[in-house]
Amino acid sequence: MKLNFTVNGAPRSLETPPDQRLLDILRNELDLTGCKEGCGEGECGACTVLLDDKAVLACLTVAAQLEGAQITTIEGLTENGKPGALQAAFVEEGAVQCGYCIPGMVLSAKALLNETSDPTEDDIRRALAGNLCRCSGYTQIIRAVKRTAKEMGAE
Amino acid sequence: MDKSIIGANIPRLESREKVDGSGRYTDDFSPAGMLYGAVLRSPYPHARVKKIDAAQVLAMPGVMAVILPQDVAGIRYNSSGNPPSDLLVDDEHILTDHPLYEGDAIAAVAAQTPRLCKEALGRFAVEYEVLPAALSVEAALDPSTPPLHPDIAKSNDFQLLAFDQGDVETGLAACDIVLEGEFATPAVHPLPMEPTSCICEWRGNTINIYATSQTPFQERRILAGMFGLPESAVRIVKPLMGGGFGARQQLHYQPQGCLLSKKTGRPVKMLLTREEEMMATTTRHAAKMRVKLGAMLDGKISAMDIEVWHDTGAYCTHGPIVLSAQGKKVQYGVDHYRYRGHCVYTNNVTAGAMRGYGNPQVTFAREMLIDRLARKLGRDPLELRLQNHLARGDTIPGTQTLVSSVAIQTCVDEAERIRKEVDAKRAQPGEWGVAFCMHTSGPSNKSGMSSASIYLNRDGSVQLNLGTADIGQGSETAMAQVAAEVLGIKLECVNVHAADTASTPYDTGTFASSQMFVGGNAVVLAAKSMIKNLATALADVRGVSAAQVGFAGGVFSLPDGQCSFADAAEQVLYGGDNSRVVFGEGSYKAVEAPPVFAVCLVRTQRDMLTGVLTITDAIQTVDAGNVINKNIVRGQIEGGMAQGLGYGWMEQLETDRRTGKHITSDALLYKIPTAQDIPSLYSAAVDSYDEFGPLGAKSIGELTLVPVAAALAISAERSCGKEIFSLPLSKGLLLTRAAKEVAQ
Repeated sequence: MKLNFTVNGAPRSLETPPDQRLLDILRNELDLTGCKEGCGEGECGACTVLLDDKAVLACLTVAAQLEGAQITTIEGLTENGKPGALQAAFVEEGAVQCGYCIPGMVLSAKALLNETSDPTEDDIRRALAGNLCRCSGYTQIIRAVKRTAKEMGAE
Repeated sequence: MDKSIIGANIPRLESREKVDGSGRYTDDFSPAGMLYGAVLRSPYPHARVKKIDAAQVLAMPGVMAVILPQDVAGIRYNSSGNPPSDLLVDDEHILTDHPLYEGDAIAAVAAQTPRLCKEALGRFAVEYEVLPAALSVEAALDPSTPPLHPDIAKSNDFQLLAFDQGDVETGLAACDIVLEGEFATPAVHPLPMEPTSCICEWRGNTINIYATSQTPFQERRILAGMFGLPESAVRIVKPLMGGGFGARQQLHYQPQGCLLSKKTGRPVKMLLTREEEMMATTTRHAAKMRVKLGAMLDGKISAMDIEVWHDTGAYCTHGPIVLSAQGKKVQYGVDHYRYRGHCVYTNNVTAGAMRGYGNPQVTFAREMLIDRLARKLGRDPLELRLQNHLARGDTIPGTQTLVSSVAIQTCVDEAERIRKEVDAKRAQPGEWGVAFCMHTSGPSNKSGMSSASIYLNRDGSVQLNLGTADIGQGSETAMAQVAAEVLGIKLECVNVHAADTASTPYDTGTFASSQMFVGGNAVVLAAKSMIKNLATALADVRGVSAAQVGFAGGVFSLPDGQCSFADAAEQVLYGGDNSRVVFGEGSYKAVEAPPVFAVCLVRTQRDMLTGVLTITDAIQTVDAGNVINKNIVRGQIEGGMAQGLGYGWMEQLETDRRTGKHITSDALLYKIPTAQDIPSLYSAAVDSYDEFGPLGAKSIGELTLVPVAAALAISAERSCGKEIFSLPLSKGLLLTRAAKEVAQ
């Protein structure tokens, strides 16, 4: 099928089988390797991206669902070559260890902050519950999200 | 020490590329012409392949090569990334026609796409003779069960490790109180978020590999030996790595990848599915333990008798060395100590290295008994443990290892301070469980060795080359801090290049909590050698004697004034006739393995109506020597706590007893803690300094996981009033996190 959609603000048009996974389109066709495959079964959250500002799993989303969609990947959060607010907070708070879960984790947090600018800790824990991290106890990640929300509120 | 570099909360240097998606992990590389490889696995835990026909596979367009057991029949090896040891049995095959666990490798295929690989695996025609499987230590030890590897050992109980001190029988007989118990802990999976992967390219007489690898230099040694190549012909590069926790302290599917590449002349990427990850990589050994503890009425613990049976699965890998490490981790000054560790073959998933390396199992059993002793004697559980604790200068029971530093009292004081704060916040009554543990910095057999080289640039910045593999723990940043501190230069002037066997010097490997201690000492030596060599070169260029050149705080002093590190570099590199290139180099062999200590407190509260037990808080304070980077250490403590809570609470690899099939075959069926499961965590690294450590540092990697399951189980036992003998607790109790009561 012919697929027309937008990735990180840029219109894209490509020929793809309708059952091609968004994960493979991003990684193999568009070289956006920040989208990570941890399980390929929708269990770990590593491949989380934004589809029309909502968090989805790129391993469970196929080309047939993407016509006209706006996709945001981790590469799309960078602003003028610099890390965006959430990315910077993750670095500063020491929330990044091995880093493999981080693109998905940041995008799940982004989806939360798109919905509410003042999340409670329980909101954050719930929003990130589908993103497994094996290195941390999640607390530095949660602090990074809180910090970003606070900075956004202050602006 | 420069407080802006050492002990600071410095964000990790490599975090930026991880957070913007530009960092490259193994699967992010795709060399030109690359094929995909996949492994055909046994569907049975024990079988014989009577016939295998690959004709239909080879007929598929896009399939480029197949390898079968007969192609690799002569090769036996041990995949463990330990340095060579007589304890490591060579019992593995690259491919086998006698699979010994569900998932054992039978054949391998290379094809143009992952989809074709998957299809190809379904087209092998294999005829199996299904054989009876021994799915527990008890079954494997039953006299009617034949040995799994009759050519290697007549019994499935194939290795016994022993440590003794004093006379345990006499010691126990003389005690006022003897407590004993039979404990069991499950096989659990490290579950790193990045799946195990490698890209192998065999070209001419050389092999290039990108791999998720904790021990590139050991893997190179094993592969070179396997294929009859000089080590210089095998290059292993570890790109960014998504965790390891021990699982990649060994070869996985590099041998198969190399052979597929040799056959096709093209690079081959082997990428495990999550299901393969769960069944066909390695786990923490399931353990059965018989423990006896003898004490006097005044609380003195004088005898400890520990016998352990480890289920090592179908192959030896690390088995005996895990037991050897396990037997040397008692931090109480007992007079009589006996440890016996049995390594047992079964038809279960192969066990290997995992964070803690034998210590979490025995710490669970030992700490449960010590807590029961405290209750029996009416003693405070912290104070009873302190009474028996080793002090500086003591020897660790069953070993010759001296305790070179210990700040256990400070750990307890800090934990108590935090506990009071938490208690003040909690409205409902709860029970605290306490556990202590000790681990070591570097392998406890002192086999750790590491090296570093430093190249000097004109502007005084340096290139630091390390053999150590950063698998996500942050060692590269910590090493850069150590180099910057010793050289007296800014952190941003140190560029790290690591874990590439062709361009970085030898390192034993990332395991045994050795990076900070062993690797850090190598960096200190390399930096000191750089200063010495630069001073000598500066003296030559300036026409003075070397003795006239001093160095302090990043500044060289000469008879006619001072000279900054950068000026010295410029003068030496472009200083006329006597100019030269300056290197620093350091090799460190661990002569000590300083113990590190942790105190862990876990709080649970019980709903009296439903009986549901809720984990509300967990505290851990550690003595890891002088802290190089607070940010990294905090991440290590809290991450260890999360893994420890998972171990104590919910994690267990399960097999259907009748069919021998894996039940926990993915990340949905095998539960690890999520952000909603983890209670409020509190952590601290107390002030401490070890004379053998680099800048006083010890290590932190494994320690922080070890006591957590024990502290949780003790809290649960105190909450429920029922003695607990096995993990995980979710098998017998209902647990939740205090969703509503989280401290903000």
